[in-house]
Amino acid sequence: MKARNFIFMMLVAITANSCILEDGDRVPKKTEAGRHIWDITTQVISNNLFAADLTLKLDLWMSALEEEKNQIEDRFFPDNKIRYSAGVWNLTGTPIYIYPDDKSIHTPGAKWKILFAEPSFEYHPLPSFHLLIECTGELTWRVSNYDNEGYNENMNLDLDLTGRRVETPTSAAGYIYTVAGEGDYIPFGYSTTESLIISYTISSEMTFYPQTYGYYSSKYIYRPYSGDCSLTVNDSRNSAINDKILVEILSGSPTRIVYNITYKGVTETWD
Amino acid sequence: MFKKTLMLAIAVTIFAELANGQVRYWNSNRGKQLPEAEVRISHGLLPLTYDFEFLDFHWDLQTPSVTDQYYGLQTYRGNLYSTGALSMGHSIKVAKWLEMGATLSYVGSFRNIYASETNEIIDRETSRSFFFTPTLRFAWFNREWVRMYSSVGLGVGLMIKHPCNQSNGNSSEPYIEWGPSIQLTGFGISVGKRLFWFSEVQTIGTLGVFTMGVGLRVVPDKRRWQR
Repeated sequence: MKARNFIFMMLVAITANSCILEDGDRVPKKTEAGRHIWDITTQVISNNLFAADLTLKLDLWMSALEEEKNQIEDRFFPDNKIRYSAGVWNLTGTPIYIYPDDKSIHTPGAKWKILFAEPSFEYHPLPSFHLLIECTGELTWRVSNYDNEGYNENMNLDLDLTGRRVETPTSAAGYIYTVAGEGDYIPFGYSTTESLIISYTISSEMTFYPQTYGYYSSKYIYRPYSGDCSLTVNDSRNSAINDKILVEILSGSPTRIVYNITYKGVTETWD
Repeated sequence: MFKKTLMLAIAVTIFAELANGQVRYWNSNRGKQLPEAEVRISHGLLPLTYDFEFLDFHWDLQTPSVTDQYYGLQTYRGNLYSTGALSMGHSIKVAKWLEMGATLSYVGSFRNIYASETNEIIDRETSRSFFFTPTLRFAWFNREWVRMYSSVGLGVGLMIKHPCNQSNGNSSEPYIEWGPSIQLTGFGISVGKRLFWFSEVQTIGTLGVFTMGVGLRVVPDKRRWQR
């Protein structure tokens, strides 16, 4: 009797399993779509901070005493040479061009431009874009886009930065930034069929720290360690889409960033 | 391709019917007996249908857009279930070693689409396939209680697919695909006389890779027909 039951159960189990042709997807968390938008947005903000940081580092090098220039160049631009031609600075081997005015960008009123002439996909997708950096006070700057060339057509931003020097001599980054402001963008990536329009407002100042990636400390991105940001997702192909996302950074460190995402009324913690 | 397959299936069916008619004619002339016939009901596991995954495979491995990823994360797909191949066949014995017939099969598969936000079902992906497969069965071991055989079948089928577009969470338009129905059986065995059990392995095709079922065999009573 036991053997018959066993065979019956085996048959049921085999039959039941055989009817599942393919396992279902991993069940996403309720706020995972909102978290994805936040990840993309941090990349966009990081790209702009990286561009601003290159400009400020170049100015630090230009303003340095002659005997300190080599040391600063080795730290801030270990992979490139700095070349000047016809009023434009270029980091050799990169499509990055910096247009200074006649004043140091650390002087209030100074306005410099930086141009990423070609897109890059080295770490995450980085479009070609143009930025205007204006010094608004002591260690404070405003970053905005000044034309509709390149990716600027799909991106608007107006960010106020407060800088604090990175003291670690092994880091190639120049500043830690506290950011306030707003912007919007159409995502940039490998696909050309993007229809989302993502707007963000940094409601409570966010502090972005440089984090190195890869094998060398010369490459870095900016990641938020504190602050709040609210985002809105719209779709140019569907006017009914108006999704709100709220991000609250609870704690941040080079190894772990803990934050709350509130999306469609649900709050979940991520790290 | 479809026209050729259709013509081939029609030709096989006509051939089977002609052969059947010949046997009937032969029997009616001789007044001896009707041919042995059987009806089978079976269930086959993992039948081949027209929704092969590799047809949807993108060889360029293009990264999905942020838009598609965003909408994709708002839904998720449940397990894909299949009914297997539910088949019913009829055949007649035209020679001691040869049976001819045809099988009708149904294969259904479905999976639920859930909303990530509520885990509720918001849509269902389904496909329903129907196959008509004329079959030749070669019995190479013939005893009163046990028969072993191989078979080959060729016919036509159609699949009604109702997909769901995960990138925007909306249902896509249903569509129909036509194609051949092919079944090759390396080894089949039936056990029983009038009511028999059968199983087929070493098979591939629209009836499944492993088939099991029951059948009813009608063997005319010789004495009755000769009276």
